[in-house]
Amino acid sequence: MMRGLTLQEMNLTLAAFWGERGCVVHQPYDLNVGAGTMHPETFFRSLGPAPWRVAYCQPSRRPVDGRYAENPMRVYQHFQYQVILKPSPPDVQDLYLDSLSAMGVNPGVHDIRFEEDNWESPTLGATGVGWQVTMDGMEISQFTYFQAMGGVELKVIPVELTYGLERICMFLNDIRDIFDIPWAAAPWAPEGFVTYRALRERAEREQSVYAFEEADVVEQRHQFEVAEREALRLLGRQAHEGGDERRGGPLLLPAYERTLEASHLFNVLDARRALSVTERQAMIQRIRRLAVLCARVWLESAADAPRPEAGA
Amino acid sequence: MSGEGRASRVSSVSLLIEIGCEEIPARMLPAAGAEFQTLIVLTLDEFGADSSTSKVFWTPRRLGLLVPGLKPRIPRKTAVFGPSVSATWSDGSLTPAGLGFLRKYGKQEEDLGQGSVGGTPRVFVNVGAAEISLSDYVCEELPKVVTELHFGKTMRWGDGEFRFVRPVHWVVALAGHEVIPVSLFGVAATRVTQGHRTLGPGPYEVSAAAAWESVLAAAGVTVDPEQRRETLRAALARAAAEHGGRPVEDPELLSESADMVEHPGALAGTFDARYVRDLPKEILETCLRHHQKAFLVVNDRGPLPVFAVAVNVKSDPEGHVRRGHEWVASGRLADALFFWNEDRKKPLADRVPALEGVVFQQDLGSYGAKTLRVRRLARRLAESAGLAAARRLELDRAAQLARADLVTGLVGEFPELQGVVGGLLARADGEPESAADAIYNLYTPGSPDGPLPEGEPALLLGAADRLDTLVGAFAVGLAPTGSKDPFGLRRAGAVLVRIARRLPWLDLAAASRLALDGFDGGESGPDLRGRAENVSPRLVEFLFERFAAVLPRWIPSVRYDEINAVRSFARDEFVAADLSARVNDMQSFRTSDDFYALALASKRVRNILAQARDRGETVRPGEGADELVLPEELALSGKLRDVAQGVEKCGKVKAYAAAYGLLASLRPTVDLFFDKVLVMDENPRIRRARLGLLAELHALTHGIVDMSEIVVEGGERSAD
Repeated sequence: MMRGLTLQEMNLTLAAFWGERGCVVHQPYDLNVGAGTMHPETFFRSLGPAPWRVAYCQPSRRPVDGRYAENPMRVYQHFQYQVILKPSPPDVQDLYLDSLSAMGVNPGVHDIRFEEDNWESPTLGATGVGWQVTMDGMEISQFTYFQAMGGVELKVIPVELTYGLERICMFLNDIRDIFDIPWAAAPWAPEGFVTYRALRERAEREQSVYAFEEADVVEQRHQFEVAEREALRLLGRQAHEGGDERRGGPLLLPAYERTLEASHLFNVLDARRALSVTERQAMIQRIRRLAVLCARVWLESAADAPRPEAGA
Repeated sequence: MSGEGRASRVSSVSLLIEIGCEEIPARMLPAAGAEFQTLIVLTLDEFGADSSTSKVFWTPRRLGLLVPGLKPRIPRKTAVFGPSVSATWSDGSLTPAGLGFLRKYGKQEEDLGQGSVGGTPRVFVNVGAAEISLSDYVCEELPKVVTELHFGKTMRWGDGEFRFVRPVHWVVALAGHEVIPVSLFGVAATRVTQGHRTLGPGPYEVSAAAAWESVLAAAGVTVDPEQRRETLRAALARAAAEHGGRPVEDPELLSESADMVEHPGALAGTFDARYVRDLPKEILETCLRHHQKAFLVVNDRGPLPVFAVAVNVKSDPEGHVRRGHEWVASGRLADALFFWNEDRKKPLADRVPALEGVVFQQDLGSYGAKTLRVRRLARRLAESAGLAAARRLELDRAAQLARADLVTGLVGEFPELQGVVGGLLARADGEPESAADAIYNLYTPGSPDGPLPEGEPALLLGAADRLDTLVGAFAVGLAPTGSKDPFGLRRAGAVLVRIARRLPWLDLAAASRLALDGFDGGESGPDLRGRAENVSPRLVEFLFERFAAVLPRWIPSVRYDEINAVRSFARDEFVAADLSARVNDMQSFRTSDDFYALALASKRVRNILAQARDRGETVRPGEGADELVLPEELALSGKLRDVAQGVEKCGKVKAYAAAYGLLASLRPTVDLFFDKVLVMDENPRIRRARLGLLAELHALTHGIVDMSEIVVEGGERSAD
């Protein structure tokens, strides 16, 4: 019955495709994040004039989208294939369409459209202009020219392509339930392949219960405060702290990780409906402040570093 | 350039410009296209560009413009200014400065012109090429024009050198057969265009401006937006007819859909019939429209489990496109049904307390507070309207529940269904039908020209809600300025005025004061009562502008001076129906000589009185009547008294046409008076009496409308 690529083959195909086009094929970030954009290799490398190309598959957790493994379309965690090309090349739309072809999508028999969708991430202080790409009416990708990141307006523009791997895989295999997705061909398994259900169903159910019902609101708030405090402390660290010159100054990446943690804790509190409208807004601003500070420290240290492109 | 010789032989040439882009948002295209056309036609005015023969084209991937009948070249003059006139000549002969200026440009004294620069008269000469070609001119001007186009949102790409709505990939610029060597956003123009991404990608050479449209037609692209829309309309109807139905009428969705494709194809898909059974039509229709830009298909009995949708392909041989849309539709409809079932588990009335937590506007408090205010205001308006007790109860219930649907799942998912969902839920809860109807229509009309709801509860609730919004916004400094109107207050004002015209008893000035009293600092939001003096006059002026804008809907022949003539009747009191009647009844008198002459006389009276007051004269109507002895004075005085009585009676019953008739009858008496009597007599007592007489006349000609505001063309001469 299988007609299209498995999820695993799609992953490998995209990695090969973008690797051949000069991307660093990277690994997902090992923290809870809501989107591939939060990976430091996207967030920081989007800043400043230096060129950059990277591709990776980022498991993205969105607690409010959890559906206890009972919805055929929506899940707590999905797999986002993320590509950054900076500066955006003129033929990026064609490259994107070629990558779909590489996965077995025949553009001649589908209606593939670029429909306006201006992406924004208030917590990252980021905005972009672009589209959602739809195939036969179904959204399969976000296609975004970043315009600002960490509150900084960008001059050299990165383009971000994110593929909803599950959606595309369901299309390719004419499947209507996400849990029926063939993850990998496996001659040893009874059906001849391992399904998304076998790998993800329990996690989806338990994570949904946790996010909507069990997460300890008081404890999550507390952890949020701790993460925020810690991020601010690390960002404000002075040059003389740490004794050795090379070990002094702000600790940017640990501070950014605390920011990502705060962001995920916020998402859990949001899913628990523990936040009033004003508190929700205030928390978004607090995370944004951390992201903006991180971006500033990155740009300052990039300017200090003896790199030719940083002076432009 | 090889083309020069060829172009100069022909007497007129067509210009074609195409800007090829990545997908431009559909919502931006019509306005940007129209602006592109206007700007280019203006720019090429001297070449003979004409907006009626030029044609603008667009698709998601291109903006195009064809301007036929242009002169290939025109004379060109560029003025270069030199020294001031006084420094150029001395005693009639050229100074060294003047000579030096002429020498610099190789000109003679007779070539000198004079003009003013910053208020100083200076000399100039015309320099440069004697002619400029269309091609050269386009090269200079087109880059400026395209950067002036307004899109709601623009972007940078690549190295960030340029800013436009989307990255630009190709430019075609042709004057007849010749390529215009212009460059836009770093892209040099050629004669090479691109076709439809899959139906005929190209590239294609365009031999001449006039051939462009057909080249693209062969490449699967319909560039004419009207043609694309009409083709799509027919394709959607055909697809729906295959299932025995027709798409719902939705002109906005049709235009938007047509602007999202280059090739206007359509297909129909089906979904489970239980959604037709279990979901109200409004929700079905909105769900399909919102998520999929699809049209619900209906027949004479109602909705069918079928949708029709625009597609950017010619055919769907393997059914992929249809199946994809059906997949999305069934998922979305399942969500909508889930919300509809959930939302009905709790009566709308039980949701009202949750509105405390929903912000209406930061400085104006929550929707809970707004609900309290609107409810109170609606009650007061109903009292002044003398609404029957039963209707008052229905209105009050509607005002209480009006916003409760903001906390339903359906409105969370489909914000455009606010009001509609409330109305449907109220009906399902067994609320009175007219209350449910008023809630359903709270946001009606959705477009400024759409029809108003029927029935007093709906109109009164609509008025009260909008008054509250407008008064609050004006009080906290959110009144619209220039092109900025983020809260849609202009539209709210226009709808309010239209509603007010249906309610002849409604005085918007008094009602806005009542509305401001509602902001009393308690549970119902901040205390803004102290801001009445600042708010009321500005709001009334704002509403008058909206009134002026919508008046032509009701009185197509209305002219601006007539609107000015009722402006002073919209201050302390603002009754839209009455203002409109005053203007309307004037229409048949506008053309009469007597009315014109009286309007002219009233202007004259106004000026005389103003001058007299400036000179310190005291002017009181009817003062010193004993001094009036001349027959013309007595005639006018008597006539004024008669007419004043009649006009007052007419005014009371708002019989304005009759009042205008009476006023027009004043004309011979007034003319005779001005012919025979000098108002500014040397004797101060006589003067004062005559001014008093004119003051009476003034009051009369300003009692129904301000007649002195009426513009009298050519009349000034004949009356002098």
